[in-house]
Amino acid sequence: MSDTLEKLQEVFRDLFDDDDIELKSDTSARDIAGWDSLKNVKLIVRVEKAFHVRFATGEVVGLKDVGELVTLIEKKIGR
Amino acid sequence: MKADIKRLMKAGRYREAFELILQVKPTDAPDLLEYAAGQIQKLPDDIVSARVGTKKRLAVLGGATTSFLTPLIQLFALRRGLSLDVYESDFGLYEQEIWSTSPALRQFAPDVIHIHVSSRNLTLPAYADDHERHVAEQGQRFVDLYRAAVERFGCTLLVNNFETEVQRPYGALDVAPQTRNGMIRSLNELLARTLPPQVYLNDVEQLSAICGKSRWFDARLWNETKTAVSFECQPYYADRLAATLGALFGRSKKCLVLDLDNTLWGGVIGDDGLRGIHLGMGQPEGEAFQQFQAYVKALKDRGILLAVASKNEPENALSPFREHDDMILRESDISCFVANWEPKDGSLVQIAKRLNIGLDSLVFFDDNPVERELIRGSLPEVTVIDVPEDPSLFVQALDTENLFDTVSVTQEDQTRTAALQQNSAREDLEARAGNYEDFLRELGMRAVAEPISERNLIRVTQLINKTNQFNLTTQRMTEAEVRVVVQNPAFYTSATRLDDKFGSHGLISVVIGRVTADILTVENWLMSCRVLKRGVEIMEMERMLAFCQQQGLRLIVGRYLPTAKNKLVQEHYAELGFREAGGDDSGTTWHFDVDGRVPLPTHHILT
Repeated sequence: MSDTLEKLQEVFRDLFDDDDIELKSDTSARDIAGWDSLKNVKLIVRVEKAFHVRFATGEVVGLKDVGELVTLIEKKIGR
Repeated sequence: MKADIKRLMKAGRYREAFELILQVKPTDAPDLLEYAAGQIQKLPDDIVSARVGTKKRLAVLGGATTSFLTPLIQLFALRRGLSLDVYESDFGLYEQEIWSTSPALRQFAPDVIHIHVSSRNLTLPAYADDHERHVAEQGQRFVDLYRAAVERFGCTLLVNNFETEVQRPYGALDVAPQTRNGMIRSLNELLARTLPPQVYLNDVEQLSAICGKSRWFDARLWNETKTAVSFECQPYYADRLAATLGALFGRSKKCLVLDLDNTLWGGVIGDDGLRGIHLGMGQPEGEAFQQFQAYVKALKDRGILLAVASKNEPENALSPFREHDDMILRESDISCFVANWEPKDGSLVQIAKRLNIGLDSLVFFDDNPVERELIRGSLPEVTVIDVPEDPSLFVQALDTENLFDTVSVTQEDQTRTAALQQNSAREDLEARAGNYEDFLRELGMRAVAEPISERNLIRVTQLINKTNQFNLTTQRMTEAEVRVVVQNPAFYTSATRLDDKFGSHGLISVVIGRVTADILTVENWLMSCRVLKRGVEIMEMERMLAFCQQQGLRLIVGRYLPTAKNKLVQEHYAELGFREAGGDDSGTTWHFDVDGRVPLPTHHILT
């Protein structure tokens, strides 16, 4: 598991209050209970804080799974 | 704290978890706030209701998305003594809900509607020469809406004024009334002047300035989710709103309990002496303490009771109040002064008892963290302020808690401390008089009893919502509900003022009864504890009886519904000659025949 994915997993576990969440590249909103559009807004704010990045308006709307989010984060932190 | 709450919740130790959740504040980390708010629904009802007794129904109608905001409002309402059921409109439908008299909202039967509007809901141009017309139009739009809401849903309204915005396309000209911000300012002033009755303003313009306008609005959050207040500022919005809701339902605090050494002045009076303590102009620290005293004095002048709980020799403790020229607070400002060497939890219990108020009405302000910890542990109902080390921050620490919020100031509020002092003159008379009956005769009491009307409605509502002890049914009512009763001829109402030779007590007694066929059922009977054992209740009974005789009614029915605080009136109906006619889990029922065969006790009040 990459560092980014591991750190992201911590964010997910805390936000959804569920220590059993195991993130994979193809994990999507369907796989996690309570991951709706409202929670997604909170998630993005948490991710920004955890990785010290900022997403532009609309940038995260089209992402289809965790893998794409990881790619976007890594692009932003220059990895 | 979050880890602690989590651990307790997972272990099913809900009572302890709830105590921690009640301590969460707007300044805490966002993830703690979110987590705490998320736990409320998971707490068992009986644990919440045992600690937070008042349950109310709040409808939030949004001109913006409110989903992120409402859990925070619920969270902070709890620490204001309110447990809220919430109804949320769909995004942006606040006008439709009102104008269509939404059946879902009617069915919800809100106690309060909060209309969450912001400047984004205003149709105002960037600049207009006919700015006055624009302002008048927008003012009309909202005033009409609010009036309709009160009429159609019969409840109180809490609405926002409008925040001026950060961007200034006209630069320095932004101050002119023709600009958008200029029109927003005029509109706010118009609203404050012309709000219909039962509509209260939430001062978002001021709050957004305190929080910082550039932090208040998050353009990305608005564009993506139509949320009008940034995540960073939502907790402050929610807490301020919760405080006003608390005030509407009489849950604001009543008394500020102050320490003395290093709280009202710098230094220790017992060691440093009158000339050694830091207070007043010329010393930076002394000015800070004086500013704090000035703020506290302003609270007192609008009806907040002040008490002192100090570990000191009483003579030492009082000397600055009597002899120090730079003291702003005087002995006469303090309603209850406790100086001794006993643990302070005992002093607080004594203060609550002497002032006839609940421990949950006290706010404790003490620079010593050990004392604060003691009170937190042994008297969790008392609100304890996290007093900062620097006295320059005292005012802010107390003010931002919004604990003494109010939606109106009545004459009684402004004269409360004086009234308590008249009480001590009365106590002297009581000590001199040979027996209690002589004392009552010598008091020269005069009462003015009249039906509830627009003239006394605000004070009556206040009394209904904050009287806990002499209160037979503890039925709280909003101003709107009282007004409905006033306008309904099937109700008997009485609101009584009492004076005696030492001064006026103001409006102190309220009775509301409903007439059905030949029966009068008493729905509310309450009285301020200031006038206990004066015979006011006997006088009220006489009046009610006279009304029943005149109307040809046959029976008066009274109910006693016990609460944690009204044991005082358990025997109220028995003492007036009612006979017990049954009871159940909720309380006891009492009957009184209007035929005049049961004589009433006597009293010494002239009417």
